[in-house]
Amino acid sequence: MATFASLPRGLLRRGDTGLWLAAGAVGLSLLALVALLAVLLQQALRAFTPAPVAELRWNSGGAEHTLIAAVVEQDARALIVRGSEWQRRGAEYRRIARADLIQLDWPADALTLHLRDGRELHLRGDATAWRNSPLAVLPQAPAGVVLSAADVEDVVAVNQLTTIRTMRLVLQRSWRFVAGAPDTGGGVYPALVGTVVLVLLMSVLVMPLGVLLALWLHEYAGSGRAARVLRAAMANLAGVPAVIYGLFGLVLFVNGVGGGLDALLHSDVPRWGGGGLLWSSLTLALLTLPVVVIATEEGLARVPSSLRQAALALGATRAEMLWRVVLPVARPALLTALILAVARAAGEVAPLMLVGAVKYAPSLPLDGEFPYLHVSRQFMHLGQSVYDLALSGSDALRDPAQAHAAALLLLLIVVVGLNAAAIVVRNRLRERARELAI
Amino acid sequence: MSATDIVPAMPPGLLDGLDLALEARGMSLDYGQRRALDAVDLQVPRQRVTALIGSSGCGKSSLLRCFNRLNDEIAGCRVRGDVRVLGVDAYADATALPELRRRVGMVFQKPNPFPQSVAENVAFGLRLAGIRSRLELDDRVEAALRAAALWDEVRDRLGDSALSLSAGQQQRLVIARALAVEPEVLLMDEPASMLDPISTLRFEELVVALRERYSVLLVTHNMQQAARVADYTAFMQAGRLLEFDTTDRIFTNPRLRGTEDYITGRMRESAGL
Repeated sequence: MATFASLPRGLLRRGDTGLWLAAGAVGLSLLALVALLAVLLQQALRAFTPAPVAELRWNSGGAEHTLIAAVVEQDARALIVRGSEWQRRGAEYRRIARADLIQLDWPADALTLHLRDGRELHLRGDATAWRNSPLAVLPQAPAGVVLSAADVEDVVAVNQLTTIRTMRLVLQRSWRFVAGAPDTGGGVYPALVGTVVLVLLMSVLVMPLGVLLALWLHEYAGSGRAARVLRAAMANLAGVPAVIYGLFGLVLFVNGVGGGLDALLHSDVPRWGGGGLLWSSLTLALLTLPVVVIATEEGLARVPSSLRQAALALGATRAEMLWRVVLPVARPALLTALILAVARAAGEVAPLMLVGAVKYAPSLPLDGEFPYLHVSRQFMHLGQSVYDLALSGSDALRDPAQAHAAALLLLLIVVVGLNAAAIVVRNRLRERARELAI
Repeated sequence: MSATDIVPAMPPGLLDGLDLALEARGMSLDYGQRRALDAVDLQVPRQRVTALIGSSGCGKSSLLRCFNRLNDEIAGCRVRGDVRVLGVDAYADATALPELRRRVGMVFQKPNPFPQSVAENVAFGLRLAGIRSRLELDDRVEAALRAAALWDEVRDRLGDSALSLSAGQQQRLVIARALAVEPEVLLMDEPASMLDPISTLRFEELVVALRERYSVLLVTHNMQQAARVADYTAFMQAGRLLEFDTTDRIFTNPRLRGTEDYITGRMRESAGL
């Protein structure tokens, strides 16, 4: 008897296999993204959560020591504590084996003083008395250390924190991290400004160049030898490691153009002949040029030829046709190109280290002083901050945690923020195009 | 020797006393190695409607595009022979393409308005011509829309997207766009093929009205349309222009067997026999 029912044989015979595979891939990607954000967030929070303060007594080398210190890590065998940082941030870490420990108390009147330069002091005392007359209860400083009330940022009764108060503290310190200078115990505001200004300047440089190049390639060059060579070069350039662009920028822009400018201006101190914002932007512009050209060319190819012919038949020159019809219709593609370029540029660190990004820059590239944007200045960059904090910080525990926080910020504000802005603009343009295309 | 060499496409003296808008003499067109037009002679009189008929791929559109040199845009396309537009050699070095194309308007098979407002579409050519005055633009947009019999339908929608119009309206809009720059010749490449019967009827009325001021060269696959609107009709086959005569004569008493076969074949088909 004939029947239409057949048992599925093989995975692909089942109609929904593709769906499940696709859904699985999407789920996996989302999971990876969430996991990445979770790791960054968890590590970053460690940088801003106040550690509980203990009063310790222990034996070491036959002598007995006492110390009031923040317990930053502990396991079954040992504690890692951070004593009062009278001299230098990150200089007072100590590992105490549990076997040596005589006494470990968590006094309720323990206070942590946060100093404006990021150091912490730990002592026992009355927080209210502090707020009333700080100087009267200033802790006894070791010889040679001068501490004034103005140095103290805030005082926290660290062992009596409620959850809400802890959260407020974390938020406060996160904000100080985002909006503060590096000398406030880690602060990435200059790096944030540097990154954003760099990416904006890069966009301004790369977009006109990239669009013109794509126009030439797509509209004028035809399939001639020069065009083929240039297309192949573009495709290859897109795959060149970023650090090579850095070297190239160093040789061409910093040493070549910059050095030449200095010689021309007879300046004794290298002003242009050192790494700077302009050279970095140009290097990134070169780096993202292939992306812009390829994306723009694809957009130009999608403009219907009927529109081109309509414009030409009305007496438009080629340039008028491109400017008045083709480019406006291709606008969403131009924004796609910009988004791709920004996404690529915002995440680059390696080339910048060679052409202008520094660990510490004394002044912002953007300020209230004429000419407001100082393109020859060295600048700080979030990616570079991540690298520095993670590998060469002065604080063995706090700096790596802050590196995660900086990475999270780079991810959220620069990559997500700049991209989201560009996507919103593009969607608005698309919507307008759709309104026109009902 | 083929039949075309013996029998000239046009009976002698047919266009005597008429000004010519377009003229092609011994014109050939190659796309790379492929010959699309072969020794074409065509004369299009002023202020008349001339229809160009023939089966698909016979070179009608290629011929049309020689007169505003839109073929120049196609890589590997080469034109030889004499092409005169309004008495001027169209392929002379001194010919300015934008000016030539301003005087020879074109309407395409598929309505192709720009993704802009109705008014901006019509004003496109005017802006190219350097007209900036809002008042003059408005006046000429209105005049062009009236000439294309579209004004009454879009007078309240000038700011709307041109793509929100119906296909028939869009086709009249692109005609208005072509008319706005006040060309002397209109080339139409199967402009009614995408239109429904009512829109087609309105379009044909429009073409007849345009005859007052413009010289029209109309490519069409619709025999009845050619019979209704054209003063003269040219029949093409395989890249050659085989017969040119008054529309009456072509449809009632063509000189060539090929013309008759083509016309009657189409007539029977469209009559549903």
